[in-house]
Amino acid sequence: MHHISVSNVSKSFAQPGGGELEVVRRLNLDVAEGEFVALFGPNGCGKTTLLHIIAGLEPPTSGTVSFAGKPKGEARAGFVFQNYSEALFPWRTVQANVEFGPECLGMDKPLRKQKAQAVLEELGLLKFANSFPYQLSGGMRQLTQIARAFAYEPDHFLLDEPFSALDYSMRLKMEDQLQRSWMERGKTTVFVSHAVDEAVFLADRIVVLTKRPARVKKIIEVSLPRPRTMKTRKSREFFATCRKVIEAFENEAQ
Amino acid sequence: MANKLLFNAASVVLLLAAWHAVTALGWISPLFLPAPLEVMQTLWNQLVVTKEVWTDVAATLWRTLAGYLLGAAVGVAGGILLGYSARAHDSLEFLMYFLGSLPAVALFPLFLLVFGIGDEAKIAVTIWASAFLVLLNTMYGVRNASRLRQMVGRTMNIGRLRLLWKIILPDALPYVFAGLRIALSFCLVVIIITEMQLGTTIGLGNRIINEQLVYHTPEMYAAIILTGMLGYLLNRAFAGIEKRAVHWSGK
Repeated sequence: MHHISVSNVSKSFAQPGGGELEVVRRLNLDVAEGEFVALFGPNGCGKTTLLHIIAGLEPPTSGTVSFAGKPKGEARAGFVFQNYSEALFPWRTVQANVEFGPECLGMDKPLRKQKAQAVLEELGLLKFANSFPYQLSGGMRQLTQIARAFAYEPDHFLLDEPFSALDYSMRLKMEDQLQRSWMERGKTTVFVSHAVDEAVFLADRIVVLTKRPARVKKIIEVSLPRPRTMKTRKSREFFATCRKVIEAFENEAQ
Repeated sequence: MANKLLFNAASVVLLLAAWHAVTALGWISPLFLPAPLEVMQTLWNQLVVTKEVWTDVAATLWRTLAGYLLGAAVGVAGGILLGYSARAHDSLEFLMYFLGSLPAVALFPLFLLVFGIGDEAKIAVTIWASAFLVLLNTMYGVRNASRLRQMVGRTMNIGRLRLLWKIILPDALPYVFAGLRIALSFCLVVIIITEMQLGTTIGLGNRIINEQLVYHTPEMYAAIILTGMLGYLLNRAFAGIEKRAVHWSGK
């Protein structure tokens, strides 16, 4: 069963100097229930736009996005933005940031506190509950943003290059944590990445996009067993998959 | 911290020394600038011995705060409206800048006519003067609120009112406080000027002009220094509130 169906989606933006910039062209993509899909493509190819369209943040110029079992507009997305420094609310503590989703859902105070505490505990953030985002390192801030998305109890997760601003060792930790949480929750996830190893480590399928306007160039299945570990990262199969992604990508990089 | 205190004390002492030198060397007639010691003695006398200035301080403080707080309320409300609604902004833009640019103090006669010669006219001028500063800053704060954080709200299907209350307004708060800070100093100046006009027998501005007219120069400087100290204390109190209210600003 397809959880997210993107059918025939196109998106153009009017340009300041007149004319139109076509960013996505008649793109089709089905994501199965509980699947982890990585979107991979050259810089500026329209990955983020596509993710925003799936999240309902921008309407497509044509085509539709539908969610199985949910009428339009009722599927809840847990969105994680790349820019964690800006995306968090600096006037709220970590705990209050995480409570934002439950607040939007209209939960009462004790319940949303409980929800937030549970998520903070799961992600190892409890000791930062009363800190403000500006007192945290980049990694912890991004983890807080992920916690906020979790506490919103979404039907699916959409992550836009969440780890691209972190250093390598922090990124490995975060990918580890994300995989664990994803395996526990089993929620459909679409993850935009521009790091090959990250996409291969996390995803069930990697959708390689063309340069702008984005279309699906190739879909690569990742059959590495889970949970994937440091050992996986060093394995022959891992590198073979990376190679496939790079080969699909190479003609698209300008 | 101790260093800060030391340096501040040193700069004050230096200023007083320079003042003393200028008067002791006879470069300036005592009619225009009396010796600092004489001014300090007058000030001490008025504050501690006769205690005559306290009613003036209280009157000036009350008028300043009343005008300031009401002006701030008007400014914040108007700034939110003009910042949030493009239609309100586009239809009121000219009027806002025009009215805001009118010299508030020059309108004092009009305010006297409308509000009578009591405190109301002075407070009304101060509201006028401070509201624009707060409004302008609030409006910019609302308009410059982070698009990304508003997007976060939209991914969680937040309603328009909640978006305004929970995301846009807190985001605008550092700007609002910048406006409030400028307005506070400005309000004190405006109140002092209106007190120098007709319509009152108390207030620091009233004291300054009265002493000036009869060439009581040390008394005049004592009142001026008192005004400066009042302004300093108001600003310090404000800075303390600001630091707590927008603790994330600049971090």
